[in-house]
Parts: sequence; C-alpha cells; structure tokens
Amino acid sequence: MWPLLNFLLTFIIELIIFYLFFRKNYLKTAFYVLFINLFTWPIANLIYSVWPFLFFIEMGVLIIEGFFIMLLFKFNWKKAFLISFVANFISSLVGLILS
Amino acid sequence: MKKIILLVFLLAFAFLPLVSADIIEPGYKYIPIYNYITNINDFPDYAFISTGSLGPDMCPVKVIDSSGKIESYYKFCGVSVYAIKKSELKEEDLENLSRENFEAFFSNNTIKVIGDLQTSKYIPVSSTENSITNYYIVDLDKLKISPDSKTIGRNWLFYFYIIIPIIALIIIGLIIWKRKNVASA
Repeated sequence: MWPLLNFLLTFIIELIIFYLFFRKNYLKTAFYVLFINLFTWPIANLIYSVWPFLFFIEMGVLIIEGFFIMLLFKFNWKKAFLISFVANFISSLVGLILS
Repeated sequence: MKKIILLVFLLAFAFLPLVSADIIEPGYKYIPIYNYITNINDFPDYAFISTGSLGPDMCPVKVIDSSGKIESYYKFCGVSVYAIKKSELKEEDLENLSRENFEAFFSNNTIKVIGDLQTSKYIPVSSTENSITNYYIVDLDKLKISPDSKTIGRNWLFYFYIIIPIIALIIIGLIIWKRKNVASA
C-alpha cells in the first residue's frame, strides 16, 4: 500500500506544479504527467533499492522527465527542464520531510 | 520518596534510546537475511558455532549443523561465526557460558571465521527486496566480513516496477509517433 500512496503523492505534487506552468488542456496534462511518472517513478525506486544514492537518481529522473516534457508538451528545453527541476525538487523535498 | 521518583525518571530516560531503537519508522520494514556456510562439510574435524557481541543472554551460542545454515539473531547482536575443534567442544561448556567467561572461551578455543554478520535489514517499504541469502565459503586462516555470493528475493513490486514503466514508455512513444504522423500528413 505504501508504494502506491508514495506514487500518488508524487503524481499529485508534480501535477499541481505542471498546472502552475501550463494552464490549459488540464485532462491531457494530467494524462501526460501520469505516464511520465509511471515511467520514471518505478524505475527510480527500483534503482534506489539497490543503489541508494538519491541525488544521482533524482538527477537522472530530472533529465528523463525534462526530455519527455519537451517532447509531449512541445516546450523549449529551458522551460521543460525548469518544470522538471521544480516538480522533482518539491516532490523529493516533501518525500524527505514525510519520511 | 521524591528522590526515588526522580531516580526512576532518570533511569527511564537513560533506557529510552534502547526502547526507541526497536520502533520501526513508518515507511520502513525489516527483511530477513539468511546466511549459509557452503563448505561446512570440508572441515570434518571442526564444529562451527555462532554467537553475538551482546553476550549469551541476548545472543545465545548456536551450533551450526551440516546444512551450514546460520540461525537468525536479534538485530543488534552483531553475529560472528567461530570454528572450534570437535575434540575441544563440550556441550556443557556452551551451556555454562555466562557474560564473565564468554569472551575468554571464544578467545582461547576458537577461530573466528565470519564477523559482522547480519540476520535482518532495515529497508524502505517501496523496496522490491523481501529476503537476502548470503553464502560464505569459510577458510580457517581468514576472517570473512562479507559474503562470497548473495541472492536477493524480490516481491511482486519488482514486476510492477518493470512492467509499468515499459507500458508507460510504449504509450508515450505512441503519442509522440501519432503526433508526428498527423503533423507530416
């Protein structure tokens, strides 16, 4: 149950941050953010269970998510990576505080 | 009377860290670590015994049988394995071990072959690990502090963590591919 709650929390936090940057096509945005997170979140957790270096894992997630945001939302790379950075920074921070 | 109450409180505070050490943080769990000596039958003249650094009361001395399985211990035991000549091993010696003669017994009669052995591990609940099995190849001339090989048991989350990202990647790929096709049409 815990992993599912962790995932939902990450998804909700990142979605709120996306809505701060991108205020149209709410459903489509939620759909894209969901699939981006369904790709990065399980892989990040799997890697963390065998290689517990959170900073480097988060850096990898930031790059992959930035790349997907760029392709799916057609943002320029600066905006895509800024959204990815803010979303991952805040979700990691909340995760660290809660743990 | 007040002095006694104060003393009780002070003692309670002194022991509080020990008590809280047993509390599992939310979001974490313990998984078992199974340990085996794979070549125990290569030493027919020796018996192998395990014990922990907290003494025989908390971490009792256990004789390892021919399967090579090292029994589990309380998490703070800091388990070690010793080899002892079968001719020098007396059941009554092991039964009579106390805090006082414990160290003397192990420093005089035995060879420490494995040290720093753990029988449980504290991990995040999101981890896919559900057990670890360590295998040791012991050598009477060498102290081992890490296993020679290990296998990690995984729970259903392992498959969740593999299959879900693949499906998500396929869907993201399809969205991008479809959009490119529409744009080029």
